[in-house]
Amino acid sequence: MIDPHPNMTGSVIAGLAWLYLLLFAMNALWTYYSLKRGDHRVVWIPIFGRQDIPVASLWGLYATFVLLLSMAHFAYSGDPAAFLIRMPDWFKSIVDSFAQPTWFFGLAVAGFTAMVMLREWWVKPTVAWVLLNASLLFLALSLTDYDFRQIVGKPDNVPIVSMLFILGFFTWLFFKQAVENDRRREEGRPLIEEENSEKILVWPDLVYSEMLCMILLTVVLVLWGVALQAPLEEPASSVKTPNPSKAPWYFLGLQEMLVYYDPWLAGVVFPTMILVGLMAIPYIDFNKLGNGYYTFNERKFAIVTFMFGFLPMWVAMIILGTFLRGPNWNFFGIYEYWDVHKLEALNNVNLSELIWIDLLGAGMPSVTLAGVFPAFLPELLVDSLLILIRESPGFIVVGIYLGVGPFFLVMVPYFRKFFDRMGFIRFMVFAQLLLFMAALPLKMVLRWGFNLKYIIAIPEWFFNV
Amino acid sequence: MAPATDKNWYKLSTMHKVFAWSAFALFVSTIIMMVDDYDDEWRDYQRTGFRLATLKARQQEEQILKDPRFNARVDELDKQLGSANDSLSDQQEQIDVVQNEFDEKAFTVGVLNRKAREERAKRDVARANYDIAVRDAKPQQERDDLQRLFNTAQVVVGGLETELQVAQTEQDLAAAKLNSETKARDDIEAELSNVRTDLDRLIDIRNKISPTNIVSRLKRNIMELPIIDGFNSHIKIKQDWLPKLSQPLGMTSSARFDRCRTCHMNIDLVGSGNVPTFPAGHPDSNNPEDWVQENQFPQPFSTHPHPDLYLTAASPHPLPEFGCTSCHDGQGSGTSFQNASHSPNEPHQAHEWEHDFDYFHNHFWEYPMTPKRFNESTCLKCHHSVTELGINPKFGATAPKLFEGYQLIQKYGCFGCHEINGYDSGVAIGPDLRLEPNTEEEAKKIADDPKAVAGQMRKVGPSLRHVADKTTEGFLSYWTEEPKRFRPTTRMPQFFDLANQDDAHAVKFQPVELAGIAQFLMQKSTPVELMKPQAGYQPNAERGRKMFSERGCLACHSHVKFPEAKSSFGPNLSKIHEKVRAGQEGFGWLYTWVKNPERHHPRTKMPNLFLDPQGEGEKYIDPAADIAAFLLAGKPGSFPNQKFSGKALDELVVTFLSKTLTEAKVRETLAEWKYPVGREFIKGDEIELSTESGEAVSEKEWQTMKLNYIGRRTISRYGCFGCHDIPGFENARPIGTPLQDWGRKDPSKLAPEHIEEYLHHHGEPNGGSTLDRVTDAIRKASGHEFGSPEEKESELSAAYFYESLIHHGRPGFLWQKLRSPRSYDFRKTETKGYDERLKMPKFPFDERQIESVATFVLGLTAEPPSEQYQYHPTGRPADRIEGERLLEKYNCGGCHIIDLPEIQYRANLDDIFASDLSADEYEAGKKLLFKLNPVANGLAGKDSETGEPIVRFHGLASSLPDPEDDIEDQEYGFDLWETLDVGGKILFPGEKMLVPAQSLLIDKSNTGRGGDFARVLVNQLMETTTKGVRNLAWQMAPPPLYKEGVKVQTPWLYQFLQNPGKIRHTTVLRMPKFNMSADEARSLANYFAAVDGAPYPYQRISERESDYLDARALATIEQAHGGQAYLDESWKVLNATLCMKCHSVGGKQVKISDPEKDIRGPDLDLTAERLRPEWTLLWLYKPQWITPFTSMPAPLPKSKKTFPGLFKGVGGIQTIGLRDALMNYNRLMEDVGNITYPPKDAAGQQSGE
Repeated sequence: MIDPHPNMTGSVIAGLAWLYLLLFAMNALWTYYSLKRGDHRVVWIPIFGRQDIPVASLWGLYATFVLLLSMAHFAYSGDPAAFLIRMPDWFKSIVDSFAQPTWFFGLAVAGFTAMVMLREWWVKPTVAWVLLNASLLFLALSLTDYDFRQIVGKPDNVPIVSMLFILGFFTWLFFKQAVENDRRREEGRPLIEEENSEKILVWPDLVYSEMLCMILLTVVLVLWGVALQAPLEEPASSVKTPNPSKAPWYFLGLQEMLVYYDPWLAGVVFPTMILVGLMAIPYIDFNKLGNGYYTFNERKFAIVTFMFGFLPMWVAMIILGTFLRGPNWNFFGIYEYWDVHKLEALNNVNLSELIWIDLLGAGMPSVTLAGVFPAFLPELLVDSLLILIRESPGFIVVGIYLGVGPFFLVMVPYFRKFFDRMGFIRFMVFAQLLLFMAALPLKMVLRWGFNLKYIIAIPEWFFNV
Repeated sequence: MAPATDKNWYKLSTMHKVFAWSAFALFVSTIIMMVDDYDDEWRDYQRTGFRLATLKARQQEEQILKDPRFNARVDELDKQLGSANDSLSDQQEQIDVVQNEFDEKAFTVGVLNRKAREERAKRDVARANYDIAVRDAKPQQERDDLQRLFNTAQVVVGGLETELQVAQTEQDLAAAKLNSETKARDDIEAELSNVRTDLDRLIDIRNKISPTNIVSRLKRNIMELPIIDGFNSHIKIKQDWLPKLSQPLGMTSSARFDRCRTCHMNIDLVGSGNVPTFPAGHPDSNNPEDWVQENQFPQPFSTHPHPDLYLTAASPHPLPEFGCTSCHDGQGSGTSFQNASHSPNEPHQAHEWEHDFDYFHNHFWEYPMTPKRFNESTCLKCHHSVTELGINPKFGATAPKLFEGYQLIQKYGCFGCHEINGYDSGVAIGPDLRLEPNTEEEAKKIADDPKAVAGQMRKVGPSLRHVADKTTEGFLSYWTEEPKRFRPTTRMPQFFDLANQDDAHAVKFQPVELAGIAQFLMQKSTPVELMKPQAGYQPNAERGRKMFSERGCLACHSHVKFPEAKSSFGPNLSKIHEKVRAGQEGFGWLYTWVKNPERHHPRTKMPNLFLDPQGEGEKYIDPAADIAAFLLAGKPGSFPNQKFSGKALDELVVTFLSKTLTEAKVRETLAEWKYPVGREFIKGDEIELSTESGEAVSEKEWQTMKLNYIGRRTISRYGCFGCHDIPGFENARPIGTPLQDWGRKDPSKLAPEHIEEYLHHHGEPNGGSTLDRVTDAIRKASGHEFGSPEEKESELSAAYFYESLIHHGRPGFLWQKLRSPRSYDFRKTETKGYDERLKMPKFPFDERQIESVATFVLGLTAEPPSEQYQYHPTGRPADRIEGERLLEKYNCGGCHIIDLPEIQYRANLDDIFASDLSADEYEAGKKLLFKLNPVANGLAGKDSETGEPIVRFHGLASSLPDPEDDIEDQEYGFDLWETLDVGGKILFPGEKMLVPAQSLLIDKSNTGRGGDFARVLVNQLMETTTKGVRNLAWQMAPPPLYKEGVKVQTPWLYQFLQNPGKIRHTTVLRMPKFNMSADEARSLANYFAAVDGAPYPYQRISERESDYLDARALATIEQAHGGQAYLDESWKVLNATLCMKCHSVGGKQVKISDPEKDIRGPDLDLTAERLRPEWTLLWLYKPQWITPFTSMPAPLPKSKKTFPGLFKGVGGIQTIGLRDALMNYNRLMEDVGNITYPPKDAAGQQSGE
């Protein structure tokens, strides 16, 4: 009664009952669909040994299990705190113990790689269905945790959860079509798009279906508006900022960048580069394949590069910012209490300090070299020179990265071909954009690996890189 | 790719189906949206509210219809109407004629009226045309034409108007004729409608809300339909707009919109006499009809419980000006239970609300409604002087809890450490509780700064400037460690041996700190010149004991030998002999202190009691010495100094020094016995480690210096100077968090640390778990298992605070901070430096007091509303408030009764008889009595549970019931002190009120204010001195200050308060001389006049003016001889053998001939300056009307010709003359001088009587 953060409450159990019932309905349909297809599979069953059974029976079994789960939730009337079907604590603590940006970003990249590599496997409907089921079960079980519920259930975070599923669906759809087309190409068959002529009538096919979509979307929005009220928070105040202060969800990727880069870079330069880069794609792209149909193999680099920029570096950052960044912008596990008192050491150092103090064992040039300059030089000039000397390692590193980097790329055989096709200027623009895109993960790695704060740190001029 | 074909991609019939279904879905979702929009809970509340109004109106209608008086009157009028109608029908013919005549005339008037209207319009057009022509500067010709047109029209109109006037007059005549014929009937009809006003009004109300007319009902129902209800339906949001009471919102503030009345629609409905129409209650039933039956209405349907104070137009807080959220907080714009930010009063209620209203705490709204327990907090926003909320002649104590908190803070001196600054750069923002300037320079600086306002509070503890004269070092450290150990009633909080001082560090360092404090105080103490009794005087402790009890000590102090005196204003003195220095040193100190406290502390609250030696030779008595001897009888205490190791001392020195010096320098300091920084550069407590000369010191001196350093450091750290005057800390600033805006402190800035863990396993004074206690309380609340309402209140209160604390709320934080201030260091001491530990001491508050203090502190928001809302009274109310503060400050109520107790009892009105003037009393006296002591209503206005009327009056007990009597026969006797009207029977003061013990309503009786010591003394004197005569004992005790303002002249009181002289000869003690500033004396003098509505600060004594005296002379010309003879004769009355029996008068010392009968009264030379003339006259008419216990008889009773030679023996004139002689005393002494009346004749016989 006193517990202010109950994991289980009566309304949670009731809600989950409905969620499981929905899952049952989905799987009942799926079973029906499977039965109609009539697939069989050989499985080993204890006592009966190897048996060839219809796949639908397995789905039926699973659907029944989900129905039972739902019933158990509906029927329960005891103390909610004693309800047994819940996410086990050991699982929660394992998940939370990996609550580090490094792990998150690493897993996001690994997941992205697996998605690309295993594309032929996971586009199969059954695999995709199993993945969907797994994610829903995970969600349902996780909802038994108070802290998870607090984050996921916030009315303004609900669209982000649904966005994840929608995004998953469309990514799956793309890969499914692309894999199919690639296979057809290999087998010399016509592409899907060729087989089904896409030319259709504006009326009724296009306009009618667009109107239907409009109506249905309106229905969804109205019902959503009725069911989930817009969350009102406290009146804005200059003396009290909410903790955590979060940007709108679609900008959380940018906000995450602020952790690693100075505002002028993360807030001005990078967004500009993203927009300019997106606009430049048609002029950089020299690959004429893939126009008007889905494919992966014919545009591997373009797709992987874009998807890397979109999925692990934009969408994953939104997820990170929404669900995993808590008070003081600290990183919290999905089952972790957002404790304002949690502290993280922020002992980050600048490159100049690393070089001058740690590597060379000398003091900062502003101290050690202050007397070297002749007295007749204006003080302002001396100070500026000292700053530039101090930060010279950073300037060299950045200069090499952006100045030498593109030429280095040319030497890589893979990009050599690009260079040949694109010509000097196009390739240079392309290389710069690519390097800028890589700058974020690189800086992340440097931060995590070396506590590197800034490569160039001139707070005097508000210039930090 | 293939070209487009005519074939459709999608199957059209399917598309149509999908379209149909989605269109249907859109329709449904739109309906859902509308339903959701319409489904506001307030609509239901309003519907119920309207239903209640109907039911209530019907109930009231029924009540009226059931009233036999009403029915009888209506029947009677109906009958009269019938007969009037009958008689009219008899004269029907005649009436018809008159009626016809009237109709004719009326017709003519109507026709003429219409015509006139038409012509007037034409005339107006002509005039307008002419005016336009003038404006447009048309040629003369055109203007002339137009003017002609106007003139023509005007002539027509004029003719018609004359005609009309004539016709109108004729019609009026006809109407008058008609009226005179039907007058009898019309009057009856008017009377009937008059009688039925209330009923008709109720029917009107009911008809409006639930019309019987089918069309109206239909219209009303239609207006409730969705969408249509948007067009000014009766079911709508009700909004109070308060543009001047702005609501602070983050960076800005906006006008306040209170929509509370949308649901609380009956909140301001009152009937006549400010009685709530829908009294609040908690009916069990859910049926509105039952509520009406029980006359109890739950929220949100009830009326405000205090309509006299709030919401009504006549109250000080009318609804249109104050709204709701300015007092209650909450989100005024919200129209749902949730959005309004209601706050539960305790967790159990929160659970109920969660169940009933889906309640949750919306932490985003910064001003949630104040829970009921803190309702009073918000009063502080406007009532910065607080006092009027606790003591208020008109409304009583309106915020008693808040006021208690205020008093506690004043009493315990919280402001010594926590500044409560009521001003922000000269602008009032809240109550001001700050220490007065400590030094003269500071006071001057503040006085010179127009924006600075000086604090007013005196430090609450005694000055320690001369403490070495008083007590020993051992006692100081013993006392400091735990003051309650020596004196359980002390207000000094405990600093040591608390929750964060139980580890090895504390065990080691605490004795060093204690010894340090004691040594520092002793070393810095400067001696006072002590007084001594006369050489050879042997103090008598037994006599001292009597003196102690009679001379007023017990008004402020308590002592174990006098258990009946319970005052806690000053310390309990039972063990003072243990505390002060042994032998002559201690005696000398106490003697000096008792005799002249100012010598020890010039700003002490202890007054000078005029304990001067009296008597000569054998009878020589020195009361101060006797009292000192009495107090010091008993063994001196032995308090050894604290024991600690030199190592611990050094460690502690290192701990403190390392805050200001590097490690190396600290080592150097300890090794070289010398602080490494020059004395002139030391700003902090380290000054104790350096010497004036800067030379090396001996080891012993160094030890002393180190300990002094620890002492000084500890005093700095704990802020002892917040309560005590300590040498060396004159410029120290309060060490605690300022509290003036604590009520709005951002909860995220509170540091609850590990308090939840602490309360989980510890937390209760008995070592139990607070969590268990609270869980238990909530369980009991659900099952209604509490033993008593008090238990329920206290346990649920604890539960509230606990929940607040674990949600990081301000109230909970405060609660625990006052309960166990150091518990916030739970498991924090391990990771904190010794000198970083929490320092707040533990005050001896119980949980109820904590809640009171919290109520006050939570009200400190520093968010004053605009100036017009703040209560900054001037004139009488301001003087009253300032006076109340001073009464409190100087404990005037310790001796004097300030408010007489109010006695309430169930009375049989037939047993009460009105007073009559006796043969001795004057009609003029009665008039004067009614003027000076206006008649008060003796009926409490409500009946007791058994249906008897309750009578209330102010008075003093004169006799107690005899416990030997039967319980039915036991009765109290009270002297009535006010003029009382009990159901039309007027009772004069001085009447004996006999109240059967069983009828006395103890719970409803107000015990009054002050006079505890007077009562104790009266009881004691009745035993020792007056042989059980209560009235005599009262005459020997401090007088009640009843109607003091009407009695004394303000300028005299001002002087008297600053230097009180001896007035009464009967009293066993004298009014002491307080350490009062001239300003304070002036305020206090004004206070009494302000309270009693008497003129102040100056009074005109017209009795000394020639106009008055001439008029008197003229009026008494028959009895005296006019002119100077009036005063001369009056002077004779005064100097006659009567007054001088008891009073010294006219230069003759009184000689009491019969001490049993004649009691010496005040000397009469004081009267002219001291008493107000009217009061004096009333006193002379009948002293018992003013002071029922007085021994003074009415000097010149009506029935008796006392001095037939004077004013021809007319008593009434003599009495006025007596007063006038008293008022002109000085002049008569000058002009006439010492006389004797009646003059002694040769034989020495007095004549005239």
